[in-house]
Amino acid sequence: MNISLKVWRQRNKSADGEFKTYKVEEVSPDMSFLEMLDMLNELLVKRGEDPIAFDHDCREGICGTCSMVINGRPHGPIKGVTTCQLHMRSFSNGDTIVVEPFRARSFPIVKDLVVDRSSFERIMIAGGYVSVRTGNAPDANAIPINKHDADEAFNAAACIGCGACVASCKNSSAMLFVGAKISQYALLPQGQVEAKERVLNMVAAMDAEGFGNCSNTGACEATCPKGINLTHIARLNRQYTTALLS
Amino acid sequence: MQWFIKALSTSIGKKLLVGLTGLFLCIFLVVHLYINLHLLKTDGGEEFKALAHFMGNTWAIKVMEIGLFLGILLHIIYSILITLQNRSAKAVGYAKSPNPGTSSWVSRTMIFWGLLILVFLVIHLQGIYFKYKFGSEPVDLYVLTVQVMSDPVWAIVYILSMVGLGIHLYHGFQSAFQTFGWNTPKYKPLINLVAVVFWLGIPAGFAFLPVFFAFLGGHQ
Repeated sequence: MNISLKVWRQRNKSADGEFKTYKVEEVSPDMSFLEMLDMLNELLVKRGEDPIAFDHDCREGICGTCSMVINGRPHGPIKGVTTCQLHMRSFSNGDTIVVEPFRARSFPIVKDLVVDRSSFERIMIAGGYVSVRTGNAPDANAIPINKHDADEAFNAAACIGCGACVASCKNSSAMLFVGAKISQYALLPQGQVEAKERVLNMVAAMDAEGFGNCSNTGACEATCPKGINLTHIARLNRQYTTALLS
Repeated sequence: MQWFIKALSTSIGKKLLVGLTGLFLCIFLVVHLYINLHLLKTDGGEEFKALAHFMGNTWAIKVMEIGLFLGILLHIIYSILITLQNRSAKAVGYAKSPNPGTSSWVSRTMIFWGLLILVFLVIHLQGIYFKYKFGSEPVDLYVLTVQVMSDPVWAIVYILSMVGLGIHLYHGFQSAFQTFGWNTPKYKPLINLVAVVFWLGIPAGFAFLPVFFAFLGGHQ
């Protein structure tokens, strides 16, 4: 396949960025999107040009590192996959593909397609943990947990913190991410001890990072590669209100 | 008390306030429509005027009226505040149309419909409420209301405004319950069912009156 890539190029955080168009030829339909970018970067290096900077790590859909918006959608057009799992067969020969970094004030651009998502880390530091005694691991089945709650907590824990929810939200709201992180602890007995402080502190950290307010448009749910749904935002709101009033 | 004031400055706190005031305004709409529907009675407006007199001369209602204006004010101020913060959080938009098909146009245009309702509210208060309440001459509320609703131009303004209200409530009603945290799989079907009464039933009820008086001949 031959494709045309319109990519956002920005030298550093403070520089002005612009779109540059590159022709990529003989792309295998079986290549992942990142492999196609690797191929383009090899060409750019050979030509003495600066390669396109983009984040990637595990390349198997679990690290949440690959962050880019492809044709207006975080992680591209296929539902339930990350950019590294997106294959070129999802596009057609001769397509022009627009690639942009995640856009949010709380995710400043570092270079080209790389954004700084450490704001998510600071939210996690504020309360995304449980305090447990160290030592031998207790038996996993020692505490009885309702299957529905265990499944829901697991679904929430599937969030990889990629930031696609923030990128797709017109308000750059981080509430799907925070909702998932709250849910995974709120549903389990181990998370009850710090439940109140957790939700208050994580929401305070989220606000301090400058994320927008959720207006329930559902774009985050539609673009989340791990299928995290709006129920977790409702649970976050419920937990927050309960913590406020208790 | 400090915790309460502090809570109102957080993202969820602000949204809770918008949701609570929104629901309070929804209750007001039900009462207002109940009174308005008495215009359809062929009693020369006797019951309508009696209800209006009750609303204007009962101390509990007068207190509620202050709460209502305060509610409207808070709903508007906090909605605008949230919208401005949201715009600032996005900062830069996408070159390619963002997220095709991932969110409803209603959910993205709430502030527009809200501001449209605000314009209607000003026209409505100025045209009927202020004349009745603070006018220099005594006004027969029934005659004035029927007169306004019988004018085809005003009738169209009223009907279009009710379409705007319906669109605003279509997203706003169920969204408030999401903010309260009650939009769970258990309660969501019930909330969506009650939402139909508010986004469709209430605006349709209000809109029927100008249709009746301006285009269906009224009581003639």
